[in-house]
Amino acid sequence: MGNTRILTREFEYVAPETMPELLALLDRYGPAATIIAGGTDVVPQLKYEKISPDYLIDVTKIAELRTVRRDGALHIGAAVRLRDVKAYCRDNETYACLGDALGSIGQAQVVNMGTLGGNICTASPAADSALALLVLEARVRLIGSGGERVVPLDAFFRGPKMTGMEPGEVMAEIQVPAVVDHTGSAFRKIGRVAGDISKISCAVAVQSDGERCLSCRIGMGAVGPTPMRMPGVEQLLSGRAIDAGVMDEAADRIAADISPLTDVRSTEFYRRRVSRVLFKDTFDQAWKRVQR
Amino acid sequence: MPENRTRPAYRIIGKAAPRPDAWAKVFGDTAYAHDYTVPGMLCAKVLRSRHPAARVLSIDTGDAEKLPGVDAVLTAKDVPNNETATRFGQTHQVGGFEGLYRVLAEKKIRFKGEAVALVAATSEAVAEEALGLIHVEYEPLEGVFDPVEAKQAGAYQVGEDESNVICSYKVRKGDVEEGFKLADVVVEQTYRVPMVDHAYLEPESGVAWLDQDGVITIRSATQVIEHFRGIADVLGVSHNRVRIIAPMLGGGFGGKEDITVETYLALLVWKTRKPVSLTYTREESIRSHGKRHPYVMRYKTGATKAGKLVALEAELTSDAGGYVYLSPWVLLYSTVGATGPYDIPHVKVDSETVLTNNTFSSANRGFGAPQVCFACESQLDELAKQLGLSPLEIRRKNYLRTGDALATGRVLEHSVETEQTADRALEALGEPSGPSSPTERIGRGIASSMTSYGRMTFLHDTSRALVSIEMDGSVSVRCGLQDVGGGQASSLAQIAAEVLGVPMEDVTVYVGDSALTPLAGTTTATRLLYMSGNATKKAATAVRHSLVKKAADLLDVDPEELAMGDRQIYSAGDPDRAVALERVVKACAADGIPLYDVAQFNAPARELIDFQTGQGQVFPDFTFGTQAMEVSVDIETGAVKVLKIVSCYDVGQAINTLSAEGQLHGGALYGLGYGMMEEVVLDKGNTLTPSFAEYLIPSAVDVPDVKTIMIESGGGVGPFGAKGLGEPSCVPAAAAFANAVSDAIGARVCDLPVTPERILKALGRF
Repeated sequence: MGNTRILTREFEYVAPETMPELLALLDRYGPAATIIAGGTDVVPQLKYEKISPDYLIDVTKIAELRTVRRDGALHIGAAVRLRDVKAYCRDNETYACLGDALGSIGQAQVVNMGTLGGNICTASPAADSALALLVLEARVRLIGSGGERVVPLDAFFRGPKMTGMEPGEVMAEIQVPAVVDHTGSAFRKIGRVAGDISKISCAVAVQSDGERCLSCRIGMGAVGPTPMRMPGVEQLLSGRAIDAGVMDEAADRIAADISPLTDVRSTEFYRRRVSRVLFKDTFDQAWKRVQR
Repeated sequence: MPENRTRPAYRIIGKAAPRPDAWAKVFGDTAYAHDYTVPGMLCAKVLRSRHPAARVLSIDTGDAEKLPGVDAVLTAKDVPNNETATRFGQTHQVGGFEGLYRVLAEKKIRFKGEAVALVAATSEAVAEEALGLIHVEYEPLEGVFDPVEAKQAGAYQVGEDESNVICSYKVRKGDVEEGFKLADVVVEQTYRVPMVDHAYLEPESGVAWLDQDGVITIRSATQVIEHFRGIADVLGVSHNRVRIIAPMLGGGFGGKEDITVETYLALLVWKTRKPVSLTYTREESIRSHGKRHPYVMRYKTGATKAGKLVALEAELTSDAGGYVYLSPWVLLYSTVGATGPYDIPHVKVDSETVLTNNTFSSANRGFGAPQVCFACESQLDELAKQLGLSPLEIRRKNYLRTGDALATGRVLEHSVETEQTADRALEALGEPSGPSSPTERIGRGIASSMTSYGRMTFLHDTSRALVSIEMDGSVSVRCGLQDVGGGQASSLAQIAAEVLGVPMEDVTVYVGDSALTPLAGTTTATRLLYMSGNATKKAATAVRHSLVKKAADLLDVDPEELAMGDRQIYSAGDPDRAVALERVVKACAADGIPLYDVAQFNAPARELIDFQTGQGQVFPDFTFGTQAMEVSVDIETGAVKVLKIVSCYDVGQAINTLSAEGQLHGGALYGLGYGMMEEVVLDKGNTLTPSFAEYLIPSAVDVPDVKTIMIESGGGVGPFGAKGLGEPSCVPAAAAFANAVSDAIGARVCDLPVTPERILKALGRF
C-alpha cells in the first residue's frame, strides 16, 4: 500500500523546456518515464506505489503547453492550470458547462495545481472537466515523435485510467470547437461534501429555438467506466418540443442507459435514482442559458 | 457570553481569555510530536498483518536484518512481556476490566493491520524497504466480522481460548413487563451505528531516546503520560526507568488514550540504544488504530397517552474488534447512559461487547454515549409522533430533575438544567426557514443528553498539581497533564491567576512530563478541568493562605479582611491599605515560609456496582445539554443541508468562555459528522476507507456556524462549580441531526450515518 508520508522510490526528475526535448526524453526512457503536470494525481499514485517510474518528466516548463488561444476553436494547452481555465470561462460564457465543472471542484489546491490535460489524461470516470469537454465535443491533439493526431475526446477514453494515448505520445492541447448559436450548456454534480469528487455528475449542451431542442449533447460521469455520452437520449430529444412529459421520458432513458456501481461513495440504486433528477436539473439550467 | 444566575465576582474566571498557545497555532509555530528530532535518530516502521484472521506460522527476519541501514527488527519473541493490559492512572485494582492486548502479534492474528514486527533503520525509506523483506507465513482463517454473529454458539473464535463475548452488564429497575402493560404506545426499533475514526489532524507520532542515566525517554502525542508504567511492565524494567513527555497534541478525541507508538519506540530504543522516531501514515492510523465502537441497539420504549415514559428495554451489542482494550468501560458508559436524561420507572438494559476480526475499537469522544443517545432520542421522537406531542413536550414530561434517581439508583444531587437547555436551544433556532425549491423539505430536531465527566468512581481517581510563586511574584504551575488542544494548560493558568491575584500572563504552566511534573492522570473522560483544576485551585489556595497571613502581619489587619488582585494584597474594605505581592513573597522567603504547595485532589471513591442489577454510583457527576438543528432535505436526491445548529449546555461555570465555546463548536461538528457522513467501511475486516479521500468529515464549507448558549448553574463538581464539556458537547449532535431529517421527510433512518442514499430508501424511493 506504500508510505504516504514519503516517496519511498527514487526517481530522476527532468523538466524539458521545449517539445522536441520532451519527445526525445519520452523516446529515450519509454515506459520507465511518467509525465507529471500538476501532480494532483501522479503524486498520490507514487505514494500508493501504483506507479513506480524511474523518470518523472515535468511538462509545465514548456511554454507551448501553457498557452490559451482562440481561432474559432479554443485551444487550451494541456498544462494550463485549472485555475486559469476557470478564469477564462468566467469571462467567456460560451463555455458555461466547463466553468460550472471547474467551479465545482471544492479543493483550492487541486484547482491551483491541477491542469486541464492532467484532468483528462487521468481518465477518471468522475473527472469534472472531462465531462464538460465531452459535451462541448472537444478534441485532443496528441504529439509523438512519429507525428501528431487529433482525437475526439469520446474516442480518447477507453476505461478507468485508460486512454487511447500511445507510448511516446504526449497531449499538447485540448481543442474546443466554437459553440454554435442558440446553444446553452451546464454541468452539475452530487458529491458527499464540497471537497469530494462526484458520486454522479451530468453535463448538457443544448441548441434550441426556444421551444424545440434542435440538437443536444449529454454526458454522465461516475456512472460507467469512462465519462459517458448518452447517444440514446440525445437522439430521443433532438427535434422534440421540450415539455415535462418529454423530460420524464428522457430521464427514464438516462437511468436505464447508465451503468453505475456500488462503492464506498454511493450505491448503484442511488446513482440510478438521482441520475434522473440530476439530468433534468442540468438540462433545465442549460436550456435557460440558451442565448436568443 | 454565558448567562449567569448569581455569579460570584471573579476577576478572570468566566472571562474570554485569549489562550497563550493560540498565536503559535495560527502561525504554524507550535511544535507537535513529529516536529522533534534527536541527533542520530533512527526511523521506525511497523509491519502489519495482511489478514484479518490468520495463524502466524513463521516469521523470517533474516533478509530484513541484512539490509544495510537496518539496526533492529523485532517480533513478539523479542518482547519481554508481550501480553499486556490497558490499565492506567488507576489506583484501585478492579478485576474484569483489563484491556488485554498483545504488543506484537503471535499465535492468532486478530485484525488486519495488527502489528507483527518492528523495524528501526537509518531512514524511513530503508525501514519501508526492510518491511518488504520480512517473510511472514500465515495460515488464513475464516474470521468473524459481525458482532451479533460472533456471540452465537459455534462462531469462529477470535482469540485462542477466550469467549468472543468479553463482558456483559445489566440494569434492572422496577418490572419492565408490568411497565409495558401501563403503556398506551410502545415503539420498538433496531438501530445500527458505524465504526468511525477520530480524524485528528496529527497522526500517532513520537520520538524516544535513552537519557544520560539510561532512562527510556519518550516524547509522544498522547493523552496519557502515565502509560510509562505499562511500557516499563512490557520491558520488564522498573517504573522509574521510563519517562514520557507530552508535547501539545494535534487532537486526541480518545484516539491517543491507548498506547500508540510508545511501546514500539521503547522496545527499539532498548534494543538499539539509539534514538528512534515513529509517525504513522494516515492510512496506517485509519487501518490499525482504535475506533469508535459500532453498536447494534434494540430499543423498546413505552409511554402513556399523556406522554409519560413508563418502560424502556434495551439490548446493546458493541463490536470490540480484535482486542479488548477499553471496550468493557465504553460499554458500561453506554449501559448507564442507555436511558438518557429521563426518569423511567421500569427499565431493563442488557449489554454485551464482543470480539470480532474487525479493527479494534476503544475510546472515542463520548465513550459509548453518542451511540445510545442516538437510539434513545430517536425513540422519543417516534413516541412523540404517535402521541401527537412535540419533541419538546415529550421530553419536558420526562426529564430527570435535581434529586431524581437514575435507573441505576444514583440520585442526581447536583444541578440538572436539561429542560432549560432544551427550551433555550429550540428558541434560538428562531423563525423556521422556508424551502428554496419545491423539492426541499425543512425539518427541525432536538436531542438532549446526560454525559458523565470524571472517571468511573471505582477507579478512585486522583490528580496532583504544584503551584509556586517566584521571588518577583510571578507564578508557576506544574501539572502532569496532556494539553490536547482544548486549552487544558491555559485553564490552570487562569485558575492560579484568579486565586493569587495576578494577571494570567504572570502564570507559566509546565505540563506533560511524567518524571518532572506532579502526576495528574489522563486527559480523558472529560476529567482534566474537574480533577487538575481542583488540584490547582487547592494548591494555589494553600499558597494564598501563606501570603495573606504574612500580608496581614505587614499591614497589621485581620487576614479575613484581605483580598488579592493587581499583584497586590489589600484590605477589601480599604483598598488603599495594600502591599505589593512581590514584597510579601520576599518577606515569606526570608522567614522560611514555603512558597509552593503540592496538592492532590481525590475524586469521590466508590465500590463496584452490583452486576446483577446495575445499581450503584458509576460517575462523579453529569453534564446536561441539548442540541437543536434545522435542516433542508431535497426529497429527490436525499441531499441534506444543515441550516442551523444550536448547542446549549449547563457548563456549571465557564472558566474561559472562549475555550468553552470552542468545545461547543467543535463538539457539535464532531457529532454532526457522525450523524451525517462518517463511516469506516469494512469488508470482511478490510478497511475500504483508509484515507481522507474516502473517509469524509465535514469541512468549513459544509456546515453552518454553531450558535452556542451557556447556562452557568454553578452546580458542577469542578473548580468554581465548573462542569466538564469536552465530551458532552459532541454527544447529542448525531441524534439531533437524525431527528431533524426525520421531521423533514416524515420517515426515520435508523442507521447512522444518515446519508442521502438511506434517506431515499426511507422515503421508499427505491
